[in-house]
Amino acid sequence: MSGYNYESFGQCDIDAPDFWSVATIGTKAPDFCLTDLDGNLVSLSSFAGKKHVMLEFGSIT
Amino acid sequence: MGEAPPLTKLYREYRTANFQFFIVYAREAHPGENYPHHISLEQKLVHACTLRDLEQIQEIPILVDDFAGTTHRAYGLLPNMTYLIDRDGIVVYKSDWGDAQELDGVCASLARVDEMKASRVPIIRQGISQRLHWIPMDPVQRERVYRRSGEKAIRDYLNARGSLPYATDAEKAKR
Repeated sequence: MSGYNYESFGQCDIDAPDFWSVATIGTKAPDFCLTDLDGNLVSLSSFAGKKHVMLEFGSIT
Repeated sequence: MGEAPPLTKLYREYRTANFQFFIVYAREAHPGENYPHHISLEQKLVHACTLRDLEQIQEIPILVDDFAGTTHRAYGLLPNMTYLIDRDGIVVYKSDWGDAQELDGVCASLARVDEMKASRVPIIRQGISQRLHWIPMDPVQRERVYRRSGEKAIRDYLNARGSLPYATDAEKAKR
């Protein structure tokens, strides 16, 4: 299987040019609503006016 | 992802200054026998718990992206990227590869702006800075991650890049 959840590293679109054209400096960050490991829903917008938010993307491998 | 201890250290330092850190669990960057590519959201959730346990991530909450990687895509699809978003929801920093030392600097800068605003220090302007950065190759970390994933992950890397970012057993034996 290729696509987003690629099966082999060689199918990875690591050099995709998207990174510098999305979520650019000085613009509104894309909102999200994701679950944490306790099953709670967490949205970026819920921190508006309250906290600065740091996101680090990653995986096991 | 990058190593968890430096991020945890930073989080301890900045959480009292109203910073919230998250790790966003995305797709497996180097799928192998032990940690294959995702085939369901349920499996992805299990992998995210495994990441927490393997890296002993106890303080920074892990958020799990959906199966299609909607949030990962919205932020640019790279495997180890870092973002800092201020409390107005504006992207103030983005990096194509996590660097805790650099992140420390930008968090400190944002905390300083809060202090300036609180003490009514006038701000001349909101500027932009750009820079190149160089991430040192850490062969020990790379080997640990690929071996953890399995032989397939190592083979795939070799096929894609032509050489491994660490010495193979045969090369080590020659030394």
